[in-house]
Amino acid sequence: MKPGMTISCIGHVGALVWGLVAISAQPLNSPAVESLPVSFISEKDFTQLTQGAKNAPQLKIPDLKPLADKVDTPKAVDQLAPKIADKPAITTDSSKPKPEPKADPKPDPKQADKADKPKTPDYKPDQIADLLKKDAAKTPAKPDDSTPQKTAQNSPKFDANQVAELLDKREPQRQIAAAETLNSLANLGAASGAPGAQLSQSEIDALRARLSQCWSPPPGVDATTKIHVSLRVLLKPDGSLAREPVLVEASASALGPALAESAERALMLCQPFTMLRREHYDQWKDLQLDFDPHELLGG
Amino acid sequence: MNPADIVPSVAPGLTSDNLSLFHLFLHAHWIVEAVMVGLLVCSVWVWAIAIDKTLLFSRLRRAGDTFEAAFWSGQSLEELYKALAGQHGHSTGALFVAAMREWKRSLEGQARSFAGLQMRIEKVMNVAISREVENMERRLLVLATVGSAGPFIGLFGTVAGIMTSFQSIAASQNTSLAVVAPGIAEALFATAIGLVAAIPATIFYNKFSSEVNKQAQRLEGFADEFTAILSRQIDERG
Repeated sequence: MKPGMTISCIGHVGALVWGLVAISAQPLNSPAVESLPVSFISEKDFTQLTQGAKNAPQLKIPDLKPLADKVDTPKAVDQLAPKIADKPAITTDSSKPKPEPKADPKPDPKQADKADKPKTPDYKPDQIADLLKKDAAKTPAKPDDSTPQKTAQNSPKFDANQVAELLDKREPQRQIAAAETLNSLANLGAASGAPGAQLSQSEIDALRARLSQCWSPPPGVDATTKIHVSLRVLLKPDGSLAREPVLVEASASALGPALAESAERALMLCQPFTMLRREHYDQWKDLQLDFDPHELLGG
Repeated sequence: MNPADIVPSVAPGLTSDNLSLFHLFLHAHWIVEAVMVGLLVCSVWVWAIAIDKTLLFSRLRRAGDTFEAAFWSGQSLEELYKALAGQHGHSTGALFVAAMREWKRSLEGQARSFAGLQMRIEKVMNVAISREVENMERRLLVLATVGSAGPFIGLFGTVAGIMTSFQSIAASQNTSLAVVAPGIAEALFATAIGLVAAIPATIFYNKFSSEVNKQAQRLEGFADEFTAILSRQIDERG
């Protein structure tokens, strides 16, 4: 026993010392995790979130940051809905002075007189020339009339801008312009939004009770029958059927058609469904009803 | 709130930074500490027994080999008896000595009693065999006990440690790793020690019990052979 105990003690002390040295140098560092606040809202709350209120306090948005870099310097907007393709009225009358800067010095009567008198007979077509000859005496008295003629002679024969305008057959159009910034404000609610717009459990239960009242199960169907039929029902605001119920889905069973027929009959008999409130019409105008004998008879 | 700030109030000094063996032991619950110390003592004892038994069995095997060599060498049994009479720790030799002593007593007496001699020799040898086997099996029960109970003792320490760590969760209202980890680590350390003690114990127990069986069979085989020899002698003389 002596040597064994000695050897065993020495071995264990050695193992412990090794463990102290080898295992101690590994700290367990767990980074602190930031907590994330989470709140639960019901479906009803979510519906009401989208409603919007007219008397809600106006939010002050410090500044709306542009989503895209501006390529051009912003221009003053003088129209509420700016035209994307702002097409100016096309003047086919070539006599009208096109470039403004050139038109400016023209009103000078002296220059007009000098230029008109020698040139008009040479360049104008015969008819105009004749007319001009008739009016030759009047010309000095009417400097305004001569001005367009003169500019027509001075303007170049081919103006690329004018041609492009003439070729542009587009109508001046009014399109929704993409705003420079995205509106971060929530919208003011759906047009048909109503407070608590949701088919309540009591309405669902009332509808179910009414249906199970009206419904007479076809022979061979009782509460234990594993079968169900799903119908799509379109309703009018007064609670009556807008049209015949449509079979959406039925169990693969010989009793299926009979059950579907009896369900349709029950819907026809029970209308109008006045327990559905009119203010929730959006919620029940298009219903999918499941007919399950287990629920309607047994429940 | 940083969870690491809470831990010292629950288990002073035991943070997730110093998970060494020493700190694990120092900051453990006293039940866990007791379990750890107990299991450590068990482990020391198991290894001590294992070393002793290994030495014992190798000595017995060697002694058995030399004795059988001497026995079958044609040497006089009287001389062999005289040589072995004073020795101990010699299982086959002890068997031979016990049988020879009975034989000599029966022959040296006033009236030679051959009548139940063979039966008496068998009885004596059986007693000698059972004594030797008992000597070989001594403390093997410790190995068996530690091997089967060690994991449970460790598990008990683990359960106590985990209860402590749950209490620290309740105290700090926090379930972060920094709060839970030290307690769980100390608890699992108890199971680890239990397994460290139990696994060698089970292995050594299996090894030594088969060794004891082998030695016992060897002794019985020798006893049968020696009884046959003595029986022939008795028949020749009687």
